[in-house]
Amino acid sequence: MSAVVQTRRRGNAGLLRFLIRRSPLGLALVTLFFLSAVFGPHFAPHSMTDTNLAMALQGPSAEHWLGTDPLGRDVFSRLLGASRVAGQAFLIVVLIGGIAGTALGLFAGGRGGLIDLVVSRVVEILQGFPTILVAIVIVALLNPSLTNAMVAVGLAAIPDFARVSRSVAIQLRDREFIQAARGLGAGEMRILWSEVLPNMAGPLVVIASFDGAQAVLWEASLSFLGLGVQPPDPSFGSMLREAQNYLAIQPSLAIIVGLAVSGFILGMNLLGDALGDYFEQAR
Amino acid sequence: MSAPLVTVKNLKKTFPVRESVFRRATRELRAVDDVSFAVSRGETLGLVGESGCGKSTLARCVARLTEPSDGSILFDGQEIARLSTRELRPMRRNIQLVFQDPMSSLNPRKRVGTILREALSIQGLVSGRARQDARIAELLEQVGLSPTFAGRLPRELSGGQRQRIGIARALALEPRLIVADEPVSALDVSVQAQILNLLKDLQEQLGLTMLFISHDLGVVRHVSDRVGVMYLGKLVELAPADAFYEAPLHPYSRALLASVPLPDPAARGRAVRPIEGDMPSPIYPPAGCRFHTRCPIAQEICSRTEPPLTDHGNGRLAACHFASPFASARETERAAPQPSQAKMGD
Ligand SMILES: Nc1ncnc2c1ncn2[C@@H]1O[C@H](COP(=O)(O)OP(=O)(O)OP(=O)(O)O)[C@@H](O)[C@H]1O
Ligand SMILES: [Mg+2]
Repeated sequence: MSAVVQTRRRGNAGLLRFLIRRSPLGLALVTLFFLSAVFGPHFAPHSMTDTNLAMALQGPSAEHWLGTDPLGRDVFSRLLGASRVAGQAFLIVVLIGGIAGTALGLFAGGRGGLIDLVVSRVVEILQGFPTILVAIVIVALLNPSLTNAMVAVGLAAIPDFARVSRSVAIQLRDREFIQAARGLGAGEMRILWSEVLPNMAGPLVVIASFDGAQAVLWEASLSFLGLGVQPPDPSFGSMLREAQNYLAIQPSLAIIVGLAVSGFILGMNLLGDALGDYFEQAR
Repeated sequence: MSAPLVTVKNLKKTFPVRESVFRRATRELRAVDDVSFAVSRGETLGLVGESGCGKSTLARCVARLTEPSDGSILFDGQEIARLSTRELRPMRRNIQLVFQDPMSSLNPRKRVGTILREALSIQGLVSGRARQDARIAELLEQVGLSPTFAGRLPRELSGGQRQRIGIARALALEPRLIVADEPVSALDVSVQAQILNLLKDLQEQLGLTMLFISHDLGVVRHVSDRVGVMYLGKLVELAPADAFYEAPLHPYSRALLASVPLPDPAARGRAVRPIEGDMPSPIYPPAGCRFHTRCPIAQEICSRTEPPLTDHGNGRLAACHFASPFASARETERAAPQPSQAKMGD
C-alpha cells in the first residue's frame, strides 16, 4: 500500500505550503519561538542565573547581545530560558485543556441526552471560575511553581476545547458515515474515537493555538505576580518584574521581554487564523 | 420457494413530538405505521413514495439502526426487532446499508483503504494486513474501481466513485441483505444508470437480496422484481413490478406513475410531486384512508373506514376500497393539464 503512504506525505507538505503562503510571519515567529524553547537553553552563551554585579545593567555588546540585567546576568541567555518556560506553559495548558476538554465535549456531544446535559453544566461552572483566583488557590494550597500555576490555566482552558469538540460531535452525530460504522457493528466508544475525533483535528488545533498563546500570556502574568516561576529562574513574567524598577535607567530590559511576548502572541494568532482557513477549505 | 429472507410484520415506528416548548412530548409522529411485507431470497423489493412517507425510517428499522416501536422483523427466521445492541452485533454482517448521500456516507478524514479495512476488521472478519489488502483490492474491483483507489481521500472522488466505495463497504461483510436507501438520488442522471447496473450485477453475482428505496419510479423499475408504494407511513400497494407498471391498483400509485414521464431522463431526477395538495402531517394523519384527502375517487366510506391491504390475486396487494386496475373517468380528467392549478415541484 505504498500509495497510501505517498498521498499522506503530500497532505502534510500541502499544509506547510499553505501556511508559508498564507502567514509567513506567523509561521516564522512561532517556529523561532519553539526552536528557542527546545534548543535555546543548550546554546545560551552565558549562565542564566549566575550573578555578576560588576556587569549590571550594561547595554548590548559583542559579549552580551542584549545587555545585562540588574544582577549582571546575560539577558539573551535568560530570554532563551524564559522561552523554554513559556513553551512548557503552552504544553501543560494544551495538554490539560485539550485532553480533558476534548474528552468531555466529545462524550457529551456524541452521546447526547442526560450525559450531555450534565457535562455541559459542569463545563459552564468551570467556565465561571476566574482563572486568577483558581491560580491563587492552587498555589496557596501547594506552592508557587510553573506547573501549579499552569494547572489552573489548563483547567480554565477545558471549556474552550469542550465547547468546540461538543459542537463538532453534534454536527457529526447523525451523519451517514457514523450510521454506516454502527451498521458494521462498531461500538459507540469506537465510533467516538475513530470516526468522530479525527474530524475535530482542525478546530481543535485552532483552539490549541489560541489557548496556548493565552497560556504564555498567563504564565507571564502569574510569574510577574510571583505565583509562577520563582527567582532566580528566568521567565517572561519574572524578567518583567525585575525590569520594572529600572525602567528609567535601562528601559530596554522591559522592552525586550515585551517584544518577545508580543511577537510570540502575534505569531500564534496569525498562525491560528491561517490554520483555521486551511481546515475550512480542506473540508 | 423457500421461506422469505426477511419478513416484516405490523412494523411501527413512532417519534414523540412536542407541540410546544413548554409541554412534554404529547403526540406521536407515526413515521411507519403498521407495515407488513416479505422479501424472498435473491429478490429486489423496490419501495417508493413521496418525501416524508417513512421510507428511510423503514429502512433504518430493517437494518436495525433504530429500534422499531412495535411489530416484528424476522431475518432468516430470527426475530431481530428487539435485539439489544450487543445481540445485534453478530447479526449486522448479514444486513448492510447503502446510503443516499455519497458526500456524507464516507468519513472525510479517512482514505478509502482505511474505510474498507475497518469494515473488514470491526467484526474480525478478515485479519492480517496482507489478507485485508487482498480483500480490499478485490472489493474495489468488484465495484469497478482499480485498487489504487485505496490511497484516495473521499474528497478526491466523484459522486459516483464515492457511491461505489459505499457499496464496496457494504459488501465487505458479505451480507445477505442490502438495504439501499435512495442510493442514486444524489447522483447525476448519467451516473445513476451506472450505479444501478452495478447494484443489479452484484446482486446477480452474489445472490443478494435487496430492499431498494427511492422516490423515483423510473429508478425503481430498473432494479425491482416487486414494488411497494408507501403513503404517510402505510404500505398502500405491493405488486410484481411488471403488473405494477402495467396497471397499478391504487389511485395513489396511478397518480405517482402519471406524474413521471418515465422515458424522459430529465424528469426522473425530480422528486415525485404527483398530485395537488400537500401530504398531510404524519402527526395528524387523516381518519379512514390516509389518502382520501387527495384522492380523486374518494367516496364517503374512505373518510370513515381505513381499507386494509388486501390480496387482489397474482401477488397483487392494495389498500383501497375501490382498488381497480383501471383509472376512473375522474382520474383521467384530473390528469389533463390544468395550467391555472399547475403546481411547481421542488
Ligand atoms: N429521528 C426522528 N425524529 C422525529 N421525526 C422523525 C425522525 N426521523 C424521521 N422523522 C419523521 O418521520 C417521517 C418519515 O421520515 P423519513 O425520513 O422516513 O421519510 P422518507 O420517506 O425517507 O423521506 P425522504 O424522501 O425525504 O428521505 C417524517 O415526517 C420525518 O419528519
Ligand atoms: Mg429518506
